[in-house]
Parts: sequence; C-alpha cells; structure tokens
Amino acid sequence: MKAALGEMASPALDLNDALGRCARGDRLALRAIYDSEAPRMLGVAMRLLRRRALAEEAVHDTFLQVWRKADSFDPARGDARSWLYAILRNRALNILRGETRTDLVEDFEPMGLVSEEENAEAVMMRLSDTGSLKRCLERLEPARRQAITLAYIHGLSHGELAGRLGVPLGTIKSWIRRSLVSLRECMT
Amino acid sequence: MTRDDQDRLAAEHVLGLLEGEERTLAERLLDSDESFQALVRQWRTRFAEWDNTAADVVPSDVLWQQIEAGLEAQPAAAAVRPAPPARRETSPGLLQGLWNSLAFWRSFGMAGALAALLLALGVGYFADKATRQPTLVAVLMNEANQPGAVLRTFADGRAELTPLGNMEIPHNHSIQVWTFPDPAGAPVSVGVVQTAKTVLLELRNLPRPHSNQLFAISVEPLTGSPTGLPTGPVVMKGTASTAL
Repeated sequence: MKAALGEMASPALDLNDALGRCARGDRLALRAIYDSEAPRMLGVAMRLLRRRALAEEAVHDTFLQVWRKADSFDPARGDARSWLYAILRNRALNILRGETRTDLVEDFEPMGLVSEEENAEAVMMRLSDTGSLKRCLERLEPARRQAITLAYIHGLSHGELAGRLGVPLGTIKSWIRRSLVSLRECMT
Repeated sequence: MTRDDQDRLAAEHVLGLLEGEERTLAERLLDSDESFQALVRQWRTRFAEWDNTAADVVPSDVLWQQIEAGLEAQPAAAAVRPAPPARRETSPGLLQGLWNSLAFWRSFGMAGALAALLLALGVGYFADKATRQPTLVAVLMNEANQPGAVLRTFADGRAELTPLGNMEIPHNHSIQVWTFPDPAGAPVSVGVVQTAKTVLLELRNLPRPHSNQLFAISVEPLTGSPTGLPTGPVVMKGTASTAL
C-alpha cells in the first residue's frame, strides 16, 4: 500500500502550470492532469458513490468542468489540487444526493462493483503523520472522530450518521459542530 | 450571521452536510461573498489530507475517450468562440462528441427502450394515439436494467401502467407504484396493483407530474404498504420524459 502511494506521488506534475495550459486550450495538459490524478480522483469518488459507473461519471464530469473553468483558476487564491478535488466532491455529492433520494434500496449494482465502506479508524491510520489533520483528529473522542470522517469520505448525511452511530440527530449535529470548532483551533 | 456561524456553514458545506435553506444560503455566499469563499478554501485545505487516504482505482480504458469526446462538444473557455448553432449541429466534432457522450447514450438507451415498448404496444396504440396522447412517459427499468413496465400520464390527470415481458407479482403480494412529486420529499403512492396487466392509476390528487419525475415500484403486502411508505424491495424505477 505504501509503495503504491509512493509511486503515484513520484511523477510530479505542476498542476498550476497544467491548468494554465488548459486555459489556453492545450489538451495534452488536461491529459497530463488525468494521468496524474484520475486514479486518486476515482478512488475518492468511489468512496462517496460506491458504484464504479457513478464514480466514473463524476470523474468524467469533473474533467469537462476543469477544462471549461481552467481560466477561472487563480493560483493566488488556493492550491490547484484542492481546486480539482473541490470540483470532484461537488459533482459527486450532487450525484449522491440525487441518487439516494431515488434509491430506496441498494440492490441495483451487481456484486463486486460496489466498494466497501471504510472504517474511520482505518482511514485515520492512513493519514499522514506529518499532516495536522491526523494529530488534530486524535484529540477528538473516537465516536465524534468517526462521525466527521464518515461525513467527509462517504458523504453521509446527519440522518445517516445518526442511524449508523445509533445516536439522536441532535447529538450528531452538536458532535459535528464541536468537532469543527476543535479542528479549527487545532489546525490554525 | 456571526463569523463563527459562517465558519461552521463553510465547514459543513465542505463536508457535504448542508441541506435545505442552509445549503442554498451557502451556495449563494460562495458565489458572492469573498470572506465566505476564503473560509471554504481553508476548510478544503484542512480536509484535503483525507483525499490522500483513498485507494487509487484505475479508470476504465474508455473514460479518457469519453472525456475527450466531451471536449469536442464544449470548446475550452479560451478557445475560439463556439460556432453558430447551425454550424455546430453539422460539425463532425459535435457528432463525435454525441457519439461518445455518456448522457447521450443514456438518453439513447431510454429511447431504445421506448421504441421497443411502442412496438410491443402495437398498432392499437397508434390508432388510439390522436385522442390519447400521453403527456409524459416513464419506462421503469428492473434490476437487470431491462424495461419492466411503462407508465404514461395523460393531460386529464390519469395515468396508465403497462407491465412488460414476464413480470410476476410474488404470491400473496401486490406491487405498489410510487412517485416523488417533490424530488427531495417522500414518495407518494399512486396505486396498488395485484395482477400484471395494464391498469389505470390516479394522479389527479397530486401536483401535475413533471419531466424527470421519478416513479418506482415496490413489492408490498396484498393490500399495499401498511405504513404509507415503501416497505418492500424496489423492483423497478424510472424517470418520466415528455412525450412528443
């Protein structure tokens, strides 16, 4: 696992530069972003959407938006990578909201194409030791840590979190709010 | 709204937790309010480490081709201005874009299902068509992604459900038809069906159905769901399209 992550990181693409070239209509630059980021983006989308076809749709739509909006990206106002993933998450969350409203049961996808839900503690273990997110999450109580992690990585709603963790809706809401205050204090 | 409220709103927006009015408010602030945009950017950066914990998933071979085809249909912002519509329609780039576009094939799949259905319904349908033009048609797809039933709504508020193929209703059960007049709301029952044949449904008490409205069928006890909401598995679903 470590090795795989390491390999991904090695072909260092200058995303700022690539987005600038996209804005000038250079398709090779978009392709370079795709080669460098698409597998990770698909992994992020799979965690949110579970189904491969939907996750690929989210990545597809994201790249079309990146191409269309590349000229509006301003490196002075934030990091290129988080800009990319913000587009991806928005798109995936919109698909997720649309889908969960319509999907009364999850039985439409053949086995094997649906990704397993990940345990929040396992996700914790994979967070970088050098980053502040892991250190600051460790200061939260495990159940609260789990709530905020599941919200982000699986896109669970307040109601779904309440059901999953077996606590009232109001409790989930206040857990999340307090966790956010704690994270903000710890991470700034 | 205090700075703390805004910050909480920004964080919950990034988490994807906002619903209803708060979600609308956050989207509006994100479009217009620079300090809110800055808060959102900070939270994105804080949470970005989580994205690095996702396992890489190798995309299927056709994904890039589909993206590239999509580019044909929408030139980059900085590229030449789009040609006038008349030319775009005939441009090979656009045709190729359509050919590869996910959305196009999705609609084509539905159109194909619809064509098959029209054949299945036969000549009688066409003879009757002048007087009974449906306003919306929904092809409900089953678990195997095959057309399982078709639902047509008419201008007078009636709707007709026609099961297709060899649909079977489990012994001692019914199927119940649901729709979502409000996409964000609860399903509303529009009829309980005990035998697999064409039946009339009553939509008159509901808001006028709109295109993209979802219809779904669940398996229920013989007299229908006891709770007023689906209790059994959903066996078919589909969205309505305007009948031309």
